[in-house]
Amino acid sequence: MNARPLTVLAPLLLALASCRAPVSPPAGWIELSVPAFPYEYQYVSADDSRLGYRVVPNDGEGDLGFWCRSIQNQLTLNRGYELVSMSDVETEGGMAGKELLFRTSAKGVDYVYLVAFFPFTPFLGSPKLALLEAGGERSILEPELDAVRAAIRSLR
Amino acid sequence: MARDQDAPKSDGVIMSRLGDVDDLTVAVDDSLNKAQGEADDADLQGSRQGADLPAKRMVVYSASYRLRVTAADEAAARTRSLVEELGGFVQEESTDRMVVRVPVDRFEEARRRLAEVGRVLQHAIKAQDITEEYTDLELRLGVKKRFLAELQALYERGGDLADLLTVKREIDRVTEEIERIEGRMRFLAGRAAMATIQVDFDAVTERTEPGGRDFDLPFPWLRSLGIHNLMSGRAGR
Repeated sequence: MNARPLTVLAPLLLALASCRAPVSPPAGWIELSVPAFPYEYQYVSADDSRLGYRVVPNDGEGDLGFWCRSIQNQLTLNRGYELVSMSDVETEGGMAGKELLFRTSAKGVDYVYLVAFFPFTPFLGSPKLALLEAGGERSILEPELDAVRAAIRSLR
Repeated sequence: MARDQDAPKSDGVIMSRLGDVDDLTVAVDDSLNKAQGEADDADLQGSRQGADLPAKRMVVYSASYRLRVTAADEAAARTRSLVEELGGFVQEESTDRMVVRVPVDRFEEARRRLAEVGRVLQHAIKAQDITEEYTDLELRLGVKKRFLAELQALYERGGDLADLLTVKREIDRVTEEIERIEGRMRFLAGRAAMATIQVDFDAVTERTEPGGRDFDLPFPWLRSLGIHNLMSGRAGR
């Protein structure tokens, strides 16, 4: 399948769809009516796992490798997170991105933290990154990571 | 019971004999409306005619900060110390959050010194003008107190038991309203006198790369990545 039309259409669709929820959350998760700052949308499970979405500027139009390394450095060097995996990810609409999975602990509790990002340029706009972050207690969220990844791939 | 046409007047409200409490209430309502109308006119015209405005505006200041620190307990101790030095106090404290109150004239200094406790990740400042509400309360309080004085005078004049009970009920009701208004005024004055600052501490975990280099690309959104913001249901809103 020729992906070129999709890579052209996907940002436009993302811009046009900006007024509705950007992802289909995992089954059983709900959308918070008032997301915590700085998220534009936020979803939560009954076990308090979270998924947050926001769009940030892509200053300098960094590519996937640049932002991958930046996020990794920020979280490992400054925050002491442990990088578990890094992989390519593509949405159902054809947007190419990267996913990084981390582990950390806070106040004696082990957490997993997943961040996925997708560079795009909105119609008549400047370059951006669609950013999705998922986090929760490791024992609770790890079994649900496949469902979270499916939600990330549903990004529109 | 017929009204005594020669009864003395007070502030435009006609004093009446017992049995005319309803008339007195109507007269006071008219007085309230008149006072409110005068205050509205004063507001529209930008003058002080007919209304007693406070000498200066009353503003409630509040701020919120998220600070990245190496140790939350140490940062909390430093915050407590500087707040007390400025004449303030700690209103709330938990593991990684403090809510402090400082005298409003030390607000700017408190903000400047808080920014030295850790790295400021996020901050917000809010100023809420409560002058109009306070003025309105002052006007209402004045009218209520005048009405209460007239009711008390009526009560002291004595008369039929049923009438006395009616007046007494009105006295109790108006007294309660006065206490409510005064309580609200004290609350607003207190909030205006002491600014509120909420401080959230974002402590870096202990595990760091050997060498401890502080990685800091100039992209603010990078700093807000991580579990803390995501799992917080309260930040920033």
